[in-house]
Order: sequence, then C-alpha cells, then structure tokens
Amino acid sequence: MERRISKALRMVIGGAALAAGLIGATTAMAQGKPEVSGRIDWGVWIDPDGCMHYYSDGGLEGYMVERVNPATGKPVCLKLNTCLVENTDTLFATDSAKLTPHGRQRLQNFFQGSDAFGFAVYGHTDSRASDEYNIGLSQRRAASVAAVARSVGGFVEREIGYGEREPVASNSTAAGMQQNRRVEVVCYRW
Amino acid sequence: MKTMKLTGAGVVLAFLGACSTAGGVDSNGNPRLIAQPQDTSFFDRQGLPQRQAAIAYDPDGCQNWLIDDGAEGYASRRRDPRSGLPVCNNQYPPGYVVKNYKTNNFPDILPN
Repeated sequence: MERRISKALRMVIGGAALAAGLIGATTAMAQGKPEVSGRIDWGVWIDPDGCMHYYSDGGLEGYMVERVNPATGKPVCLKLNTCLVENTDTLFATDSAKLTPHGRQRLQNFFQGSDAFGFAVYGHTDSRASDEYNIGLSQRRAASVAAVARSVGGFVEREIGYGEREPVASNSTAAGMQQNRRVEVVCYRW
Repeated sequence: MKTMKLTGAGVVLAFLGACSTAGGVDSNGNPRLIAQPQDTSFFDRQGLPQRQAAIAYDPDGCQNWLIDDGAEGYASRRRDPRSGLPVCNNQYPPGYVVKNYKTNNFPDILPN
C-alpha cells in the first residue's frame, strides 16, 4: 500500500508539473483550448476512515473531491482501516472454507465486541493454484466469516473474494505467502 | 421572513474578510487564485479539522462526509479504504444527516 501511495504521489506531482507546463503554454497557443479561469490551492482533509480528500475555500463557497489513486481509482488512505486481519491458516484447514472451532470462537468474540454498524469481509489467498480457483476459495472463506458475523447480529454489507490479486507480501517466499493468506474485515463506524 | 433572510445575508457579507473580485489571469498571464485551504474571513481561518465530519445519506442510500465550515459547505463520498466501494445501506432514510456537521459558530441561514 505504501508503495502504491508513493507511486500515486509521484503521478500527482508529475500531473502538477505537466499542468504547470500546459499553463505556461496556454498564453502562446490558446487556440482551440478553453480559457484559464483561475487557480486553486488544494488542501488535504483526512476523513474519519483515514482516507484523503482535496478541498479548498473559495470565500463564500467550498470545493471538495476524493483523492483517488490514478491507476486504480481507489481512495488514497493513510492507513487501511482494516479492523481485523486474520491469517486463514488459523481459521481454516488448507483448501477448506470450513471454520475450525477455534477460528469460529475467535471470530464470534471479535464481531460481538465490535462497535461497528456494518462490516465488509474480504478473502485473500497466496498465488498457488489457479487464479480462478483462488477467487472461489477466498469467496467461500469470506462467506464463512460473514456468516459468523451475521450469527451474532452483525450487519455484513459486502463479502468479496479477491483470490491472489491483492497480495500484501511477496509470493516468492513461504513467509510472504503466509501473510497473503488472510481474511480482512473493514469496520464501518459512525 | 424574506427581510430576515436578507439581513442574514448582509451579516454574512459584512463578516467576510478580504473579498477579491474575480478569477481570470493576471497581467503576467498567471491564473488568479480562486480558492485556498484557509479562509481569510473571521470565522474559519484554520483549515478543516481532520477526521471530523457528519454523515449524509444521498438519494441512493450511500454515505457522504458532510462539513459545514461556516460560509462554505463541503461534501465528499465515503469509500471503503480496501475495496474503494461506496458505503450504502438503509440504516437511515435518504437525505438524513447524522452526527455534527458544523465546524464553527458561523451563523447558519437555514431554508424555510
């Protein structure tokens, strides 16, 4: 994520440099391009989830947009507000979406103790087996975790299996693969 | 009621600090500043307080961050930090606003 942010930042800086170049050029070659009507100094506002927005105060009016990663369209957040990241080795047997008794108990305790009004459950795998298989496995695992949340009255807003497509570590080492095998829960709080 | 509204608008204008006239390009060909993070009026010289906003439901039932910073209002979409998906539910009806949306004591002129 940090690498992604810095890449996004580089792109923003690159975009700003490009924009500055274009502004310099507008006076000379304004033909066919809209007239420059002003300039905004954007400030950064961070929302309660830690995600960034650009805003600016125009005197009697204000402007605000989400900051997004130009490559992915996803929001740019200081820290991922994942209130639970659980390694799937402790929750499930290999290749299974059936929770171990210990895993189920852990999850029940977590969902019961949470103050969130809603949850998003995201399943992930390492890169062994096919992409398609991993999407299915991570989806079934996310569904198992979501079922525990619902069983204790939790409100699950979405459950998604990302398979091996959103790794947080390298799949070329055993330790990295273990980190990638995980279920993430995002808590939606008031 | 109408006169009260006008008086209210007059108060707002009276309290506005440095008012520049318009945007466009200055004599050097540089675009004029039309907005900046800090206001120059009396009430909101600080930037926005971080991590603080009300939640406003839009007509589709999706949540948005909402801030009333006095003369300015701000709104931006709430998104799941992991998936980037919007946060939508029917915990409140469309249009409802929960939690405090005001960042200062700037007089509010409400619609009637």
